[in-house]
Amino acid sequence: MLFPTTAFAVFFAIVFLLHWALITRTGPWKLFTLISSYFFYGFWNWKFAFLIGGFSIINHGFAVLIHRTPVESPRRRHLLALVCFLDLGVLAFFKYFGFLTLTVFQTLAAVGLPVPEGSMMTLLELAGRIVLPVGISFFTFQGLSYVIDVYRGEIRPGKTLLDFSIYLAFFPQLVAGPIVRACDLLPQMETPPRRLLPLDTGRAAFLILTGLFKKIVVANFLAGNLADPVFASPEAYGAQDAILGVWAYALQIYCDFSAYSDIAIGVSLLMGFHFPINFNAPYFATSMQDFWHRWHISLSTWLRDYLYIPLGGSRNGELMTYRNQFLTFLLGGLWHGAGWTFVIWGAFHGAYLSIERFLGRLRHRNQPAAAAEPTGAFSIFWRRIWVFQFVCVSWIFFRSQTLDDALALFRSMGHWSGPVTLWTPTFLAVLAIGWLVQFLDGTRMEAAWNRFSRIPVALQGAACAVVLLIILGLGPQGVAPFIYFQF
Amino acid sequence: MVRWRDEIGERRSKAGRGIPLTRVCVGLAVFYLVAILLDGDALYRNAEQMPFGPARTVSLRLSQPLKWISRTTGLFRFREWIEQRWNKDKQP
Repeated sequence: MLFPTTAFAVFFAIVFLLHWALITRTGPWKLFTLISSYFFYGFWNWKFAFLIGGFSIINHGFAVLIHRTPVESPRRRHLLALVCFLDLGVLAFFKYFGFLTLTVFQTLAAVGLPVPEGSMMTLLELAGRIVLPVGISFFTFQGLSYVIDVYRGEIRPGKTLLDFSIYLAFFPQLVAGPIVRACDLLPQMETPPRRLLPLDTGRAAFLILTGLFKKIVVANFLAGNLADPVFASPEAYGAQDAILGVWAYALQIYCDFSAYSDIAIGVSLLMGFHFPINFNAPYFATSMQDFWHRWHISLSTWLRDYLYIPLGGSRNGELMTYRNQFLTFLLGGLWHGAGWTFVIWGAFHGAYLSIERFLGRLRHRNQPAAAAEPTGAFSIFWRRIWVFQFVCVSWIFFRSQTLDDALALFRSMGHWSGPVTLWTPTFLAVLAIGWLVQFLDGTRMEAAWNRFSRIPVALQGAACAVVLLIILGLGPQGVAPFIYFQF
Repeated sequence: MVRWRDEIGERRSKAGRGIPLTRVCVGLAVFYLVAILLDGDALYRNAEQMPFGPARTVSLRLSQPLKWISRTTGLFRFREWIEQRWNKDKQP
């Protein structure tokens, strides 16, 4: 079920009323929340509701076992390794089976070893029939963080399987994040408010409407008119148009993904739950490290806590730090999709971060970390431009279907004598809007949320309906799925 | 820069300043009512474009009265005006 659809509007109206009607009766409320979340997920393909159910049972079961095992026992580590293997095995089967199979056979052929053609065809045929469950990467990471946190003693397991199942399947964040940690959401699920709490409607309405605007108007427009045509046939465009297409994709993916996070946070707020923010004006970043503090924050902090730090972080000297940073982003790239383009995208970011760290240490050898931050307006401006351009280059790999497509786009960017067809005032204006909506991120608009909350509720409702209608009127016919659904 | 974990706690503590649930329900009812009045016609058009099957039949049946209300009150013209004025892709 997609957020900007009539089906979701009907679903949410029913769920909202029943949720608040049942909230003071904990048992029925939990059951209802689970059923409604599974319905939301199963609306796309009901069979995969069993997958997420099985995932909940396995992860919660192992978390309880780990918690009950004495800290000094090696069995704890074995249990953790086993559940991580199971979780990652399921993810690997659904997401990477085809990619791994093809890579193995291509490698065999490249080194001159005989390739068993019958088995290759059978395996590739099987891979072609595997349907990727929506949001599997997100709920796998949530499950992993839960069992690892229990293993580290940072949280205790959910009181019941039902509590954990609701946490994992809670519909606003189920299919495309944010990756909400168990320590943030599980306590809210275990003890829902015993009375009807006042709601932060100003912020919720603001997030939902700005999310819909970003997705329906800006992201869809940029995709349909600029990014998709340029990436589909880059050879048909000259350098200027190719660059504009890449900028458009950078802003499209930001508007698309941050829209999903905004709507998820807003919907959760209306149900009385608080999620962490996931985006904070990423293209205002003045360094790549700053970019990853602002882009998909729930993923970057996940990678930091469950991959970078266990690899050793920055504890084992400079060389190992560069290696850990690089590996973290390489795997982060692979998390996004099964393809070499994603691996290169991750490697690009990992390598850049390592170089940035190395140069920063050379320049500010004897100064505190704060000295590395740019201070003058001119310096900040140029560093923002530089980081944005670099991120755009990395998006070329991320968006291209194959390496050849990415290279074709790079070649187009060298043809400065080609015709310029896309630099129209309308396209440039929408690009500017895509950039400016970053001012809505974080808590920059808090004063506006609070002011909106103070106007009469009937007026709030009517105003939201009118704004929604304007958004729908400005958007194209139909709703394209969110980009991150495929991950 | 907003630190994400701090931000949860901060907003939680401010949640007490929010709107009581009963009034939120009123606001939500008004939202749905106005949205139906303004958009009933487009909802019917969307249902018409669905692939043939039970979902389309149900959607058409449900959106038929909404279309009637929107047309009778003339409020559908607001969205029509936006589409004609600003959205060239949707013009007939």
